Amino acid sequence: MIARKTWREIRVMAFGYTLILELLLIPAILLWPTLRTEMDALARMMPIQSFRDMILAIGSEDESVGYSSYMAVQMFFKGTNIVGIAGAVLLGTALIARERENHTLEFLLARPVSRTRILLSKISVVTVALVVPIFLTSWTAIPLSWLIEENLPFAEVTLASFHASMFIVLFAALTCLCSVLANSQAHTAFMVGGVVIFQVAIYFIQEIRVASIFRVSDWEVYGPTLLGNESFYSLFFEQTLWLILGSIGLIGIALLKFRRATP
Amino acid sequence: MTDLLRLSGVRKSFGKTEALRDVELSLGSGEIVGFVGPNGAGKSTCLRICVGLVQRDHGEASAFGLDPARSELAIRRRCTYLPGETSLYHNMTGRQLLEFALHGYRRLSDAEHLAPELFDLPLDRKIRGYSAGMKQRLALQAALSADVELYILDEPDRALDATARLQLREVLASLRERGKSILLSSHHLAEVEAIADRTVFLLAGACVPDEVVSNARAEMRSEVRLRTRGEIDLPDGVESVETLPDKSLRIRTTDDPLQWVAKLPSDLVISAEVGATRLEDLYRILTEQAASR
Repeated sequence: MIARKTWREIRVMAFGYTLILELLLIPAILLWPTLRTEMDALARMMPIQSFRDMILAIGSEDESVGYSSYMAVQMFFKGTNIVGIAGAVLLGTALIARERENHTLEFLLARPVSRTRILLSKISVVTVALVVPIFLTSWTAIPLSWLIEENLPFAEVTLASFHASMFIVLFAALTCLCSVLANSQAHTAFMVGGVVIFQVAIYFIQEIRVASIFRVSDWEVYGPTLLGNESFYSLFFEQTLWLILGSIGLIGIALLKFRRATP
Repeated sequence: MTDLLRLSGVRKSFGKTEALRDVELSLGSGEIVGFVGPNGAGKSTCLRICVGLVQRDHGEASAFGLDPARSELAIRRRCTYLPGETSLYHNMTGRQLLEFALHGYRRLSDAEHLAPELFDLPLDRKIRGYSAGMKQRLALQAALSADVELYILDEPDRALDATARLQLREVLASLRERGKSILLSSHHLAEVEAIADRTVFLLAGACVPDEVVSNARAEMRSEVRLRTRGEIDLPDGVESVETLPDKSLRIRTTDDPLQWVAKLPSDLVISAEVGATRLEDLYRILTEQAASR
């Protein structure tokens, strides 16, 4: 009941989010043959060593290394990180803050359904709406790559998609918590936006970028994963698991706060 | 009569604001209890405590013998609660909202026949196209179509026109005949007076004791409410006169009010009521007494 209602509310945004992810991907793939010849010039423009390495890897003479590195940037570092976080904020702000803002929260809470179930149903639908498009668009990159005579390995793409999904779910969980705490959707977006901007700012300062959450979802993670240099176990236990635990922790706090919330 | 619902010595504060002070309330099976008080008196907080949406700080509360703080779901499965200050989901159709709201409840088999005119709504239209009155009627249908033992209604007559209020009164009476219990909060005091078996007054977070209400009623019995054509010279024996917002006069007499009324020039009098215990007046007197304490 709650899940169906939530899906009805977010389905248009979810389709839009999927479409944007796909639309970003198609030209990126089709432009690859032109771009790969200009990587040296691009590398010289990069302000951070990591970015220079990223561009040089993309311009690698080994074409499979170059394309995998390029797609790691296009699909995950650019695609899911930017569009996915925007999607998490857009879909997540509606969870509770919109109910409060539209004065429907008391009507919702008066149903014979526990608050835990209400929140978990809502966050589950948002999670599915965020994660499924990441996998779908990543998998469509495989046949699209054949058009330019390139190959992407299915298992590695799936592994990278899983990691990227958990990174986005972490932001969805953060948005869920903020949505429980805030009085309006704008207030929620402001809170999450503040965290994201702060984390991005840290990421672009060479000396302290290690403290940024974006370090676990950048080219240095997805590049080796798509190249097959990162095993499932090392990626999962060293990075993905912490994202999952972080999401569970944030949702747990959101549940505690929501159970005490007054209508 | 067994109490379906009972609050005893209930207190609740929000920060430093004391919303409820030792509230006493009971509701028996098959009974309609009116719950009356000015805005901010704590009526909605009380109702929310009854269904477990707000936790009390002190005191005892039970519904169906269960503590709302511990068994809110079990309680809400056996009653419906119509919130006062709430909206509906504008993107849903009326039918979708009813389906959503009544999920988990057994429906009254003849819900649509209960009040065919009150509940005659364009259910396949989006709620955003409804008028305020239609939204309230839909919310009422959602609350009253469930086959439960207890209906807790916070301002159910909000945004309803006079005809719809009369229809609502009939629905509530019909539910009482079926043995259902209703706790009803309202600002339309005449509606409460017409339908409720008992009325509980809540002022500044505290229930007004029955003897205070009785004294206020007794005080009102010696009053005359007078409507006249223009100004008239009142006969001797007037203790006090007050002009009410509807231009009528509220007069306290030193003599027997009936004998005093007989002295009025009948051609200039539109109406004269003696000792009518209108809930509006009772409510006003209690409010004045509370303010002067």
